[in-house]
Amino acid sequence: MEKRVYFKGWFLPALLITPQLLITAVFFFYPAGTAIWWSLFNPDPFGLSTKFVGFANFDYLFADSYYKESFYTTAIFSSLVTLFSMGIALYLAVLADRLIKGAGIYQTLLIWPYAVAPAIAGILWMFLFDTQTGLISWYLGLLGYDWNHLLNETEAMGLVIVASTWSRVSYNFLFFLAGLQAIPRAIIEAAAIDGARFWRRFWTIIFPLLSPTTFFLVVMNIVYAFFDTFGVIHTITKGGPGQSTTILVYKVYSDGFVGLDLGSSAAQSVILLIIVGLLTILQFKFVEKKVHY
Amino acid sequence: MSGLILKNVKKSFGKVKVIHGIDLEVEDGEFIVIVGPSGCGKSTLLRMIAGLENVTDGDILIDNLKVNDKEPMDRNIAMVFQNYALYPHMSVFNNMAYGLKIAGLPKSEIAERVRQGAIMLELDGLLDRKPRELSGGQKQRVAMGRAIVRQPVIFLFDEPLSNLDAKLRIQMRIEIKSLQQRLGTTSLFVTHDQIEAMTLADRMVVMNEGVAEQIGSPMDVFQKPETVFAAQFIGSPAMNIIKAVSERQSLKLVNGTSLKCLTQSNGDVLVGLRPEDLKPDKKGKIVMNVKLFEPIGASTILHGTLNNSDTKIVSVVQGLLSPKDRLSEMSFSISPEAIHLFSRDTGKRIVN
Ligand SMILES: Nc1ncnc2c1ncn2[C@@H]1O[C@H](COP(=O)(O)OP(=O)(O)O)[C@@H](O)[C@H]1O
Ligand SMILES: [Mg+2]
Repeated sequence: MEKRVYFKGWFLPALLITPQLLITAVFFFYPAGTAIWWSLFNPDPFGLSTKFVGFANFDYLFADSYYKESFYTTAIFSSLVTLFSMGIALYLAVLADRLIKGAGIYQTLLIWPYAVAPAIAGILWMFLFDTQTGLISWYLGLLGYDWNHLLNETEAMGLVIVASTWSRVSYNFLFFLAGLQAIPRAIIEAAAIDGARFWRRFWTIIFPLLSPTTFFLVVMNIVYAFFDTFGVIHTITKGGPGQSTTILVYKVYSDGFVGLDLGSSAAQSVILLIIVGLLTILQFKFVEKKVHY
Repeated sequence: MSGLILKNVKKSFGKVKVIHGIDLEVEDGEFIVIVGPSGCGKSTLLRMIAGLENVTDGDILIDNLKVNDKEPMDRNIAMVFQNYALYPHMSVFNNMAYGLKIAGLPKSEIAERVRQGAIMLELDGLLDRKPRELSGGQKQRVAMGRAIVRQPVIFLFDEPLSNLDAKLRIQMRIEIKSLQQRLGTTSLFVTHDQIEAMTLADRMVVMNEGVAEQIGSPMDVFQKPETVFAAQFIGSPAMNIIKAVSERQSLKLVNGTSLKCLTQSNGDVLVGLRPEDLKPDKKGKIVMNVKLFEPIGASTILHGTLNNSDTKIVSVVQGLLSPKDRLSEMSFSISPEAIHLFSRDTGKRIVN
């Protein structure tokens, strides 16, 4: 059953949605509109004049091999962050779901990393892996491995993936745990009586029944990896070495604010905007169709 | 040979004792109904047999093999749950085939067994449907189908009919009974409904607060209830229980009325009178102040109190009483053989 509230007249409803509309206008429509506007112009390097260039900024971007490379980097980065953070979270949630004693403490501890802002998470991991003073890099040194994410591209990528994954596991864990607890116990007991041992039950019953949660999280994690990891990358690698950890959103920043190529930066923002739009549409389509068994 | 043996089985959840020691020997092919009020531990007992709960104390033997520490899948049982517990993402076919696939049967045999089960339960047209596309009665059938295709040693049913409407419940009850007779599989059926218990059981276990009050055939329990609880739980309307003192083959009821009876014992007792054993009789000694006439078709239920007391009693008389027969005071007699006596201390039956 759907619950609906009916209002008489228009004044109260209008009043109630105004704050939300204002926030959306100021923090979304205005910046998005500005980005679209600027993506069609090219300011001269001194900011003294701008010139309308049509889609030239986009043409230039699609021909730019650095931009293509950044796309590729983003794809690898976000799929690995999504895979690892969801995989680990699901594993922990399955353990927590089976746990009865001490479940509260376990869950609280797992939720803590979520309270740590991405930039701080970045600093934390940077300290652990610092090439001179880091605890983990020191241990790796003892094992004969010379860790240096400032020079080695793969290690740099690995480190930002680890840090981004770490700060995302809690969020995924909460959703997975809620999803697991929504599966009726009797269904799992029926499968046990039917002869399915734990992993069999997991893959044939639990995982399929969890698929709405999983799909939701895939979209949310891709969005996270695309945008919210900015802080992690900014504190740990600043997109380097070279361009090896420059994901799309970081490139918007470095081209626009460091490289001062505002036209290109605006065009990149517009492309990101389109990507988010597509993900959102996908999400809604799925929610409409598939969530209920 | 015995299908299932329970030896002093006990269960506690933490400090709370839920099952206080139950002994039961189930013959091969027998249909046992565990009946009792909600919360008395029926499901817990069944779940221990299924292996879904640990046994705190005592032993459970299936086919003469102790199974206390065996996983549910190693006990060769099948269970039908109250809420059906079908796999929502699988078709009816796959729901029924799931256990067979895990057992590693060849595809052709799986298809054959599911087909036979489906025919038996009239599910043959529905094999491609998902559970959400089925009615309550059909879901119930699929749940039973899932149990029978595995050909287990024991069927366990946990209130499988209580989510169905009254008419369907009666129909499914009959189907379960005839199915069980055809397959001859030992069955344990949990219910809180005494009519279901009476109609289905070869023998029933009347449970109250984690104790088996009586184990016996429906007629045994009805005719010779071992305890006041069993006497009142089985039979509808429930047996009247009246305080009395017995002395040399006569009973003195709370209101002073004397009744002849067969007992030799003396002392404080509880007298049990089935409502349908009270026969209208102008000269009868049991006088009832009638408060309410409840016509139910073939008979009428009379609610009231024993005269000169506030003990509630109920009687059932044949036919619809015409207004001139509906007196505010009615007399009944009862034959001495129909009187049940229980100890007032222990609630146990006093044998004549
Ligand atoms: N997992 C459990 N933890 C604690 N108490 C339980 C649990 N399961 C059942 N109980 C308690 O055991 C008693 C018997 O429950 P149950 O076997 O479900 O009764 P029934 O099936 O006869 O209605 C109830 O008092 C119930 O609260
Ligand atoms: Mg129950």
